[in-house]
Amino acid sequence: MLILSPDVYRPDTFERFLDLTRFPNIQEVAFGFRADRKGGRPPWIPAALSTLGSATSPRLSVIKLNFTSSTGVLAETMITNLGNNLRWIADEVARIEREFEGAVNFTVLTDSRFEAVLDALNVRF
Amino acid sequence: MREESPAHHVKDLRLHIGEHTRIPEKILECIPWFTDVDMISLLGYAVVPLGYGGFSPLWEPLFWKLPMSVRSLTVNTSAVTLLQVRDIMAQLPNLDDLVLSRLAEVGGRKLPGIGTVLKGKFGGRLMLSGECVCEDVVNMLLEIPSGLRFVELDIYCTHDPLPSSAVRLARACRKTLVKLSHTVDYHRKPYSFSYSG
Repeated sequence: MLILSPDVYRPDTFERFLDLTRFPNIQEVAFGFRADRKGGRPPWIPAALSTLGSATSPRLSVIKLNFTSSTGVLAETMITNLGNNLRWIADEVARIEREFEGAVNFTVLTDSRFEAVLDALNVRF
Repeated sequence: MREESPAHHVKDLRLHIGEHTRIPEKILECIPWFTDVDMISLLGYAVVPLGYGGFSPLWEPLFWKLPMSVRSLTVNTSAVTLLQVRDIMAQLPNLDDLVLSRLAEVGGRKLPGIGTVLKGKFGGRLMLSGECVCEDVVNMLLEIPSGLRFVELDIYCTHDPLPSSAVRLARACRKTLVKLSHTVDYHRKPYSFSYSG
């Protein structure tokens, strides 16, 4: 049984928060994340995605996500650290697809090691 | 000899300076011949670290006669410091694209105000990776009096997931930015190359 700890993004200061509502000409956004044995925490990705909307980013047409892992070991810390963040990313991807009504082209790249992590978490993009 | 040189046809000039402890003066003398060059790259890993007797040739006056036609500068060498990069950039009023992947590190030395002399256009692509995603580099760019107008920003972090400096940089270009790429590599540790400068 996996126990996922709450991992709500709380930016310690505004400076560390990538607020994309302030980028009116943005057309393409690409976020990459390479996990190590401990997983790492990518809350900045869904936090930034959550600021993308059709009203504030009218020219947005491409979002690329690239997840890879340096290890195939599914350590509990790795799953715990990645779990809620990956679910949040998947939720934001679904929201953006609905809000932009298919006008945004999503590309999600993963390697086989990270696929195993997604499978363990039952997260799909 | 200069009139016979085909150098004015060259658009992409790559200097592999890292492997040498001294750049021959003949080469330095030729650099101004490249009157129409678009891109200059400084490449190579320093065999003799700066501060231990290597790379003083970069400071020789001849080197600084860079063509004003340069629109793109790439630095991927541990043989030059940020201050030297600034001095190179200061000669390039048409600079649009900047790629900083590796620099010589001068431990603990802050460089406030070094960007105030820069006059490039800075309206193309900016790519920072590894330890170049740091306060000194970002502060230098934010200090440019004419501001930043990059349309493409590519940041590759290896030690801090979302450095506040990277966010400040993105916000500085928010009106012009078209493509934003941010990658964090938790596995790749930043290379350790430091010395007392």
